[in-house]
Amino acid sequence: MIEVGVGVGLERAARYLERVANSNDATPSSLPLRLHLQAVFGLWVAERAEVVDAASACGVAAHALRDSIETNARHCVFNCHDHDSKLLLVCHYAMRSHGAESGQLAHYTEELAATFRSVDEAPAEFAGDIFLLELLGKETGHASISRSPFEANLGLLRADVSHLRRATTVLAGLSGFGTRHVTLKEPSAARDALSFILLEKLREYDLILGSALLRALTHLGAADCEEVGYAVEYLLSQQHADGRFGYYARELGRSQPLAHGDVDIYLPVTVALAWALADTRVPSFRLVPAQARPRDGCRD
Amino acid sequence: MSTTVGARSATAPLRVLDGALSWLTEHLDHFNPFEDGELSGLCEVPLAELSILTLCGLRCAATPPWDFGLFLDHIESISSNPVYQQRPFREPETLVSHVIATAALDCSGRAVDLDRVGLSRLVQASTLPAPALAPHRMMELRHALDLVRIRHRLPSYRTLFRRSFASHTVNPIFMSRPEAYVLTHVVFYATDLGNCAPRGIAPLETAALSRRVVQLLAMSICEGNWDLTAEFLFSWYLLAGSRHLPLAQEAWRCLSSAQRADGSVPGPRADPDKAAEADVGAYYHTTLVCALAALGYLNAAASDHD
Repeated sequence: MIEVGVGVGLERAARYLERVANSNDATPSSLPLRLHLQAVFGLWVAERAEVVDAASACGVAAHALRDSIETNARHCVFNCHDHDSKLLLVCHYAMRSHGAESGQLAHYTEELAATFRSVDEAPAEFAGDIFLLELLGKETGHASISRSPFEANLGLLRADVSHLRRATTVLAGLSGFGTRHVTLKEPSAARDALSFILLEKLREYDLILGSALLRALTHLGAADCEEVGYAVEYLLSQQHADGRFGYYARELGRSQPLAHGDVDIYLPVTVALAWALADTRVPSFRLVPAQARPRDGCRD
Repeated sequence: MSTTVGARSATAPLRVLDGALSWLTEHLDHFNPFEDGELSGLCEVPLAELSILTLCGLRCAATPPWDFGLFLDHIESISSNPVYQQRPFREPETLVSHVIATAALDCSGRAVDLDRVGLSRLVQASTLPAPALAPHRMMELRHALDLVRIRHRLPSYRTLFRRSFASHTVNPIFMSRPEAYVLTHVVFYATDLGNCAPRGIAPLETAALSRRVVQLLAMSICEGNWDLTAEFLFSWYLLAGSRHLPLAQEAWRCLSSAQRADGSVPGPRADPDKAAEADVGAYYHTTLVCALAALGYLNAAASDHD
């Protein structure tokens, strides 16, 4: 059962993402690839959260994205390494699911899988990449994933933002984006620390890191804790009527005009929050299906 | 102030307390409301805060290795000035600060000249207990009057707590700094600064309030706000009456490493490039609250052993 507020919030967010994805009209001022990838990712989240009409919107956007990638590649302006690897892999999976497979992305996944096959141990930050590659049917070899990527205890309270981002990336990867349990040395201390940091980061208005922490807590089995409830309530209060999340007039006023208007700021935040809300409050939500073969460092 | 304890104390709270008390002793001038000449505005507030620390130190259940005599001498010398003594009758809003200073002297056994009847009449006649006064301010007034046994007709602690912000379930993400201080101060007054179990707060409410305090303590640590860290740490000891909280250990680690070699602890407005000497106003409150938190720890340790 999805909470009413969350369901409405996700529907609104999906409409915003659809509008952004459809703004790609192949003109020079149209949506750049990095934003188009994010819009498709966000619509994929909405589809997986069973938001009404999200699947068809995602399908349309996926085909447009494939065309955009191939066009960019023909003009030699597409470089996979300019983009986040996990974003590309999830988009590749989503596009493939909608019959819009991109040759460029297929080549990229082969290349990435070969890289992992050539190493004995992969840093924990890449657990998510390996998980997604295997989901896409790629052989990644037998590289183990390094253990103890971070001390998940109350000492994390004073960790800097880059350390926290890394911690959430590792937890997302080890948990197969919420499809399997993660074992930590001090699970209770980890949950406490992350839940308190979640509250503070949201108070500091770091909505993207807050969303990543929210997902991490959900993957650690703490979706029902009081702090997660406060975070969900807070995030829902940060949505505009048009579906965007976040109030960034202050930042937009301070910076030079952005190339793509406020989409540069609002799109990543909206995608991050929609994903976190779906992960936390939609019981059936899984970003991607679970895999049978868990890697070292996590267990089913 | 004794400094011998610092050498033999192994725990962070004792080290922080020792350093803080030494620094405060060196800066007693800052707690003189006559420092800038005439009494004006809220000039008595630092002296009232020093009086609260002194009161807590005198009441501390642990064997007190610290001598609060210098603080008491300072409070006494100011309190004996007729200009200071009479100010509440002309500006009643300064009454609480004056009463707290008297309470510290009273607790130490020093003679106090307090016109209880006159002050009781003042409270009744003035706008002090007007309904417009915020519930936590009313609680502060009641606590001060109760400390020195001045008669009043203020609402009960129960009524004041129920009216206060602290009794409500609030999302801590939305909580402002001033609201955070309201919460800690309600705890200070309801527990008579650790001298009794929370008055007017039911056990279930105490549990909920403790949970809120823990969340806000952790958030303050994340933020590196040592003033609120110490405020919430002290509040937690007052509510729980126990030392056993893993987060408290983390808080002490942070306060201990934030404390400077001279014993001062920087507040949120402290300039890291400036010496505490050059900006006492940005350091004194946090240093003082750290000392209060350490006294809270000592009381909790004593009750853990009971």
